[in-house]
Amino acid sequence: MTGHSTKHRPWSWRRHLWLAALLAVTVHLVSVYLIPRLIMNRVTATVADEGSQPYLPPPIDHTHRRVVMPSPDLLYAVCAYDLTDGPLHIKLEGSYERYWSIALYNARSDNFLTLSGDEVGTDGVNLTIDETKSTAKGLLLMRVLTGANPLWLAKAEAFRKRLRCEQ
Amino acid sequence: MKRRVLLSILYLFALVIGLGATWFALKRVGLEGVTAGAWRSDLLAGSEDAGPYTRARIAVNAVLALDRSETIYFLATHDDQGKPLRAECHYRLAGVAPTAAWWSITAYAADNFLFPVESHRYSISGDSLNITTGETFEAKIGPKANNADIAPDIETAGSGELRLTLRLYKPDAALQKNPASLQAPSIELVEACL
Repeated sequence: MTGHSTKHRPWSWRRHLWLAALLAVTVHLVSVYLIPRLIMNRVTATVADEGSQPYLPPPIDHTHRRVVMPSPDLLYAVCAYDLTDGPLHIKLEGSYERYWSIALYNARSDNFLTLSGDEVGTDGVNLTIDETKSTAKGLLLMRVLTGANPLWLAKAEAFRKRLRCEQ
Repeated sequence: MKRRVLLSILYLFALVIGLGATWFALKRVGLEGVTAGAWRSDLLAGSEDAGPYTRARIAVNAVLALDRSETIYFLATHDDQGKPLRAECHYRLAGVAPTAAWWSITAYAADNFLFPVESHRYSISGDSLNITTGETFEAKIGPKANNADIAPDIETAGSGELRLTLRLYKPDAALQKNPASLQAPSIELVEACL
């Protein structure tokens, strides 16, 4: 009776080099795919505990370090949503004379819906999002223009406080 | 044993190359899209039609951008002579107020955040310059000189990269259709850098 050796020959260096090249390409592609999702996750996590009250960051100055390229001429209001918890009801009463918009972003950071003041007019917003073309989780970002004139700051502040994101 | 160490180094090197290629693609490769003077705009910023590289590049450098129908963003990282913009240098910005519901030009440091300046002069707009669409403007960008009472229109601080972002909210239909038709503000180096 003859015994069989179970010892495998180690892979050749050429095979390891190919595998290393494949690893480099895979790491590159996966990181490019994941980065927008991870960044959105991080941004969403900062406002997720606010409930139906939007997160209202203070007027933007150089101490703001949460989201890159903030505009110092705008006031923001932010809501995180998860449609698996139910539809999102967006409510905003009244109007504002200068530029404002409400933008919805999916978990990939795509802006899939925008409502702006010139389209909404004086009717306000009463909108329900129950399903989207994209992802269940996402973010709502309201922009309200203040500009250089400080008189607008109080009006913009009052307007953004009327936003409700209910689930 | 020696083979194992060499293999570990090889795979670690592959990992670094993969991540390094991502960093280079997202931070060092310029925006795709159209140019107008020293300014460049990626028309798919914020759009669902954006490819994975555009999406990742926007997420890293300007997350939560609006779709082109709402806002067009132009970015300048070089002056009109093609030299990189520097926070320690003084520039003259000149142009015509663009046709949009509202516009602004804001300065950002290399980390894409505002410069730490007490004057809060981070940006200019039609408001701050008190002009309307079609009127010409001139603005100074750079650090505040030690003996100056007033800071430049846009104040920078420290040294390193300077990035200018031109935002056009609700651009008019012609500009939306053809962003390259923008009468782009010129960016000219006017003084020796600090």
